[in-house]
Amino acid sequence: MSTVICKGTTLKLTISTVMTPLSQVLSIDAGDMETETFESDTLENGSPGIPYTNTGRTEPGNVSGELFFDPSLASHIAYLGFISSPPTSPVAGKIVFSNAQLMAFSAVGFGLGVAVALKEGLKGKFKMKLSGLPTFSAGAS
Amino acid sequence: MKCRLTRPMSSGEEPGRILPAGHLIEHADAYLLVRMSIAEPADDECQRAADMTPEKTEAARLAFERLDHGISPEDFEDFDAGRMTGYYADGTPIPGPNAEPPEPSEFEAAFLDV
Repeated sequence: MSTVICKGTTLKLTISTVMTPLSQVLSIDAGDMETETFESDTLENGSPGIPYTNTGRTEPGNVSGELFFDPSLASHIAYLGFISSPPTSPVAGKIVFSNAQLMAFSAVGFGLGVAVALKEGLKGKFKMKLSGLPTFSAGAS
Repeated sequence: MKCRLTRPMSSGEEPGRILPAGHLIEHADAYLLVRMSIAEPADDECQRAADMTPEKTEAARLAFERLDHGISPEDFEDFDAGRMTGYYADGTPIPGPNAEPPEPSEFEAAFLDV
């Protein structure tokens, strides 16, 4: 069995044309890619199961996660900038896993919610909509 | 405003391209790269916007090194001291230049005793 630990993973986004890491990330969720389908049932189908067929398109989903939020950090300022001044073209990003394999993506639709709780540090929940499919490969971070 | 990279960095616009140290960047948010300690101001506007002191720059450099190597907070002290440089794929630390030599095994110890 081959397992890759999560400790050492970094999320990088393009800031001022340079691929730079986002600070203080606690978790990343990039798992909701899904092929698009349509219901392809017909009257003559005697089976109770509803059949579906792929349309040939794939919804790339989102990259989301949680971080300790500090609006004075440069990478958090840059992320807020994506929201206050939406980029005119998708922003390139990467998740670099601890074994140096990476998931490269283009992001649009940036979101951030801030969570304040008595027994917690200030946290931010970020979400980016992917434009096109991400690619998985080995490569320079 | 303009800044100049102080270390090689991956381009976010051209996949696979490494921007060398000294590469000039002209961008409205160039000062953010200075605040991350990966660039130095290349004009007065960037210098003013970044508003960095030598102490802030050193703190940002250390923070960036930790972040770029994916170092967990519990390992900051060992990373800063050069006892580790990152993690192997199984999560164990990669020894740094100041790492202490591992304890000899019983077999090795027996040889040392001889």
